[in-house]
Amino acid sequence: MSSSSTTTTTTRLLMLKASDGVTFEVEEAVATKLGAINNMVEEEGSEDLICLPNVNGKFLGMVLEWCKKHANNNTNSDKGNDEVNKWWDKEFVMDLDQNTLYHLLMAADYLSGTELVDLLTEKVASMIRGKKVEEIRETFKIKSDFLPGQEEEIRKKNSWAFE
Amino acid sequence: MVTKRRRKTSYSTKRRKRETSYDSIQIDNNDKQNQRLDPSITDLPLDILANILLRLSATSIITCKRVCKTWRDLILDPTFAKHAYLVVQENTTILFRDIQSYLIEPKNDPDFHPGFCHCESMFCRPSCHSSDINLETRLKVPLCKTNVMTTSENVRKVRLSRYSIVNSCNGLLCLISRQDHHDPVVVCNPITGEFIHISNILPESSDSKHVWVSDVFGLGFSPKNNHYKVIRMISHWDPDSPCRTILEAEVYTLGAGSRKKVDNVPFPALYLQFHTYLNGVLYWLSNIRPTKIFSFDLDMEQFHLHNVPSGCCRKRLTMGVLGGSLYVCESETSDHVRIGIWVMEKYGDRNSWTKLFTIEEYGYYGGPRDGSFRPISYLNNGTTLLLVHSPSNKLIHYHLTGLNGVKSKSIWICGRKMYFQVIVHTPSFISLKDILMEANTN
Repeated sequence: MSSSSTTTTTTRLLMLKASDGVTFEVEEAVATKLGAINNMVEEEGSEDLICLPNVNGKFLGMVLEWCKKHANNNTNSDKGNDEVNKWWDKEFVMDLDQNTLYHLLMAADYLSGTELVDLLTEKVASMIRGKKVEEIRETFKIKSDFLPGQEEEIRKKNSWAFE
Repeated sequence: MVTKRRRKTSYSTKRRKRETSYDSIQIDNNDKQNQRLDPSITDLPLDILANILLRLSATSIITCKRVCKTWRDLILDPTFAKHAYLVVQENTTILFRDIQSYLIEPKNDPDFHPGFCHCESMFCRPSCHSSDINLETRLKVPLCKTNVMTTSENVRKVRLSRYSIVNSCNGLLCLISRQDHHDPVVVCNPITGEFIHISNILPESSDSKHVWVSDVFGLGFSPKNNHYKVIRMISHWDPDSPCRTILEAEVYTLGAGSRKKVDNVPFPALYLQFHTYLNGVLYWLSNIRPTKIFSFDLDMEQFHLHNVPSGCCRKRLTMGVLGGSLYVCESETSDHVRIGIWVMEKYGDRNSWTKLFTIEEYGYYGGPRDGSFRPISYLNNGTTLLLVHSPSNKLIHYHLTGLNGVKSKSIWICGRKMYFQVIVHTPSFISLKDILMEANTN
């Protein structure tokens, strides 16, 4: 009987433990936005301490923040919710640096947060659109690993795409 | 301190089994730089990377192929290619060809803003460029300068500018040369740059007995057998009775390399126009009276004849695919322009012809007084219709507004080319080689 909630609705709390030992206590409705957690809750019941050895606390926190927003917005049956979610999603991805994007994507993918994966992959795609090869390499700091001949071959074959 | 007894669960560190796996792709990790301490986008697992690339337009995907080996291998992977085709298919891509070829992706292209032309007339003057498409910036398809892969694996240079487009089918193009009677037909995937020659499949024209009158080709896909087929119809003079023509048809199956004669060609293969492939059937329109639509079912390998819609005046008919249905379009130009479009809602059912809409336009200025209009595709979520007018070769961008009514608002014209072709073509990354090999093993 550690926490007897005063709210009328019985919101169960789940404990999530990140790889670096940081724990998060989140409402079940929030955490189950993540497919992986949802499966575990259904299989194992919700009294568990869920260890997530592949996610660092910092990024688990961000993923849960996203879940929380979406869970809260979805409980209101307002029609403007889609707009709110969209606006909030935009804010969420706006200033993410690439390292954070990488870790968030890995975390969201690992936790089966399909919607969040969609949001983040779309963000990366928007960073590629309309760019030339060199610009893409520069954006993502990719070094060309083609042998000199190979690149020329692709260039020749697809010369029309790079004019 | 109360320690609540919790069962401790650990979410498996093993990655879940996925529907699509790109395990076959080797990532070259010899380069230690790939294993940086602060990983970035490029270090993402291949299925996430595929998820990212599949959000891009075909032109962007082609660009990405040159970024690095990992990206290239992923894009060349058959699984990815199949997914990409399904995604790209959802948006209209138009192949425009004059001397060069261009792929235009109106919806995906951030540069594409048809905008509003302030001309009041439907056919604005050549000087009006307010909503022109600048073709110079578009992707060029290597129809003019590419190696040709022949059936015998010989690679030889062919000047493909001699070829004109017959039709497009599932990302493949059927091209024909009127100058090369031995290897007149080429099937190619312009995106992967692969070509295959379909050498002559019917009697040699050199045979004095067989004087050609005409021949007609078409490329189609048989969903039942998973085969691509090239049909050729030929009419030649009957050697025994000089006033008669003999009709023959032959089907060539790509990959399997088999040829088969088709009997009962129900019509002379004369004046067949508007080669159209739709859902396992090839269609042609014969504009000689009485106007009929001929079709060839690629599964059954049978010909059929269809009537054009009874309500249409049969003037200057054109045919093609619009919104996933076969359409017939009539054009009347006198003191005003009237364009009527019907669609066949159910294959082979002449009663299913439905009038889609009529475009009527009065008081145009400097516009075409004659000729026919051929709808190419809906654009911008069906709010506009792209049409081509012949013989003026004008592209017309027609705004469909209102619920039932149709009103013109703007138009653009892509310059005046002496000769050009415009077709809908869905770019495909699926290798022609894979298609041929698959057909071969079936």
